[in-house]
Amino acid sequence: MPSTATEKILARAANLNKVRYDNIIECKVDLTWMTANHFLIFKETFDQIGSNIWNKEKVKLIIDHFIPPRTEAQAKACKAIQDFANKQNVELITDGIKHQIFRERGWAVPGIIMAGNDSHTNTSGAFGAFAAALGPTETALIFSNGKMWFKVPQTIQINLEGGPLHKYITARDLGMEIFRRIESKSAIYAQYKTIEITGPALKYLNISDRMTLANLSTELGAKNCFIEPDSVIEEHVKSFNSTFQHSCYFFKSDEDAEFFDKITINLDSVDSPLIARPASPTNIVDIKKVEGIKLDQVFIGSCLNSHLEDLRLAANILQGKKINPQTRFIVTPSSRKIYIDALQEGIIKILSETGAIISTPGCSACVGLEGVLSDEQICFSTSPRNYIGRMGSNKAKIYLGSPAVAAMSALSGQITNPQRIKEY
Amino acid sequence: MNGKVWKFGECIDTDVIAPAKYIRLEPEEYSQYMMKPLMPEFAKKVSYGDYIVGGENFGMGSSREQAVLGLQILGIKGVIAKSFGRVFFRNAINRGLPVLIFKEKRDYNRLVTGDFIELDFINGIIINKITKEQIHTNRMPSFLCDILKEGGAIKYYNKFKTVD
Repeated sequence: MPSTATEKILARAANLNKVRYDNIIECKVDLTWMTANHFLIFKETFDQIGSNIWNKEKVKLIIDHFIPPRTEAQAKACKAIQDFANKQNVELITDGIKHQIFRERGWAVPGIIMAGNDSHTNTSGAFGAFAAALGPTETALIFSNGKMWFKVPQTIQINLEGGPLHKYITARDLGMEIFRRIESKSAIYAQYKTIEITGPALKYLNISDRMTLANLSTELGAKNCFIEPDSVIEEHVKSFNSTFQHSCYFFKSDEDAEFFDKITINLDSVDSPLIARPASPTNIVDIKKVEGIKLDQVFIGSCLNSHLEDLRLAANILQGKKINPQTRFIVTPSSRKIYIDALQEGIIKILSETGAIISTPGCSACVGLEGVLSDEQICFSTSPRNYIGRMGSNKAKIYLGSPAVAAMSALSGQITNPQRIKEY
Repeated sequence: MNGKVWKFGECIDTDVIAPAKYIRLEPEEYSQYMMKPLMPEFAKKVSYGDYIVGGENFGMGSSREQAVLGLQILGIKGVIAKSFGRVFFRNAINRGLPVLIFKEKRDYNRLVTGDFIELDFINGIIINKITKEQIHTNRMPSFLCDILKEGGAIKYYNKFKTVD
């Protein structure tokens, strides 16, 4: 019987011939992780089930939110996870945001089940994995028994055509175009579902672009994102040699599989940057509607848009210029590797000379860990969320969009279309 | 169990339910800030045994389990919504907090803050204790009901743990 790729991945992990949407199944998990920010809840559960770690190669411990800790409460959580890592003899990773680490270490591979604590787990769907977010209690249960229950989702297939993207239009804008198309049907159209991305234009999207699209699927309420793995992913996987590369599966949806919906998007049709207005990441408008809004802060960072390509794009726009002195500009590479690569390429120097604050790789201002906003302040950010109070004051406002818009807006001190770069 | 209804609107996210700036405090402390951005007086006014009614996508956003734990500390015994953010839903089941979805979305309009209701989560029935009206929710899949009956996934897996 025909199946979607996600059904195939889940069926394999549940050791079943076939699964169908709405089935509740128990799957073997291939990779799980815990981070410092919710560690105390995790530890309480882990102690209650009085257990050992089921497989030390498949569980990862990470500090990415509180790196370095900025309050005593954060320090307490970091110490607790460090003690746990020492006791369990598991490496504690502090090299960046987990989704980027999974890429850099070759742990995100096609066809495996990745489930752990972080709502942006969907990001690893960029590699063709089934990657879904869990809470800390159930993550503790996986640490002990390697299994977890899932409801099999229906799939919305998005077929990408045309391309490549226009100059200064990024995968972030394409992702927000997907928001626009899906939310025109209903605000909960993709809730609990798989967003599958396929089509001839995938060849124009590099791994960072794909991670951007997969990450964004979280904000639609999607359970996971599946980007059909192609030769780009195959080459990436081949460059590593570990347990994960030897157990990956290049699944594809059958053409006659049952889909919830199919949507086609032409990359050429995205001709103007898109922006998410406060206070919802899917509150999308064309940049024309918000151009000129004065900014107190611009943030390039987070698991969504702080890839090396994003920083490079910002540096290209800002090279030799000075940002608006009224605007605080924070740039946080999402990993240590990106930081080092950006240093070697001269990107960090360019950005720093424009007036940017270069911050420690990690989650940073996205969730108000630094770069906190006061009442009435306005921030433009490349991070995923702009909910009320996300970056500090409940009276602050956050606009979201691409790193190109962020760089141009830091320069002018107001939301500005990078397609107008010649005027600056 | 009987309790009062606290009704909220559409798409209530976890940054509202359990604001990030307080969740590093001890549970008894951060629970005092639940719903603060929308309803600052919520934690003070809510009583043990009360219920929350929400619109679409209740609990969307971050995976923070404090959104569930804080409500439980305040005594909330169930959440009924048009739909849930999926990690909030999972956290609630795993922590033993019944989360039910209206069978008919329009029934959301039949409940208001202050209503006194009884919730039978196994059969998916809400009874308005004043008007005696019944409202139906979707029946919970039996596996999830089993977890809830045990009081959450920790107790469930401790009882039925299988290792292979």
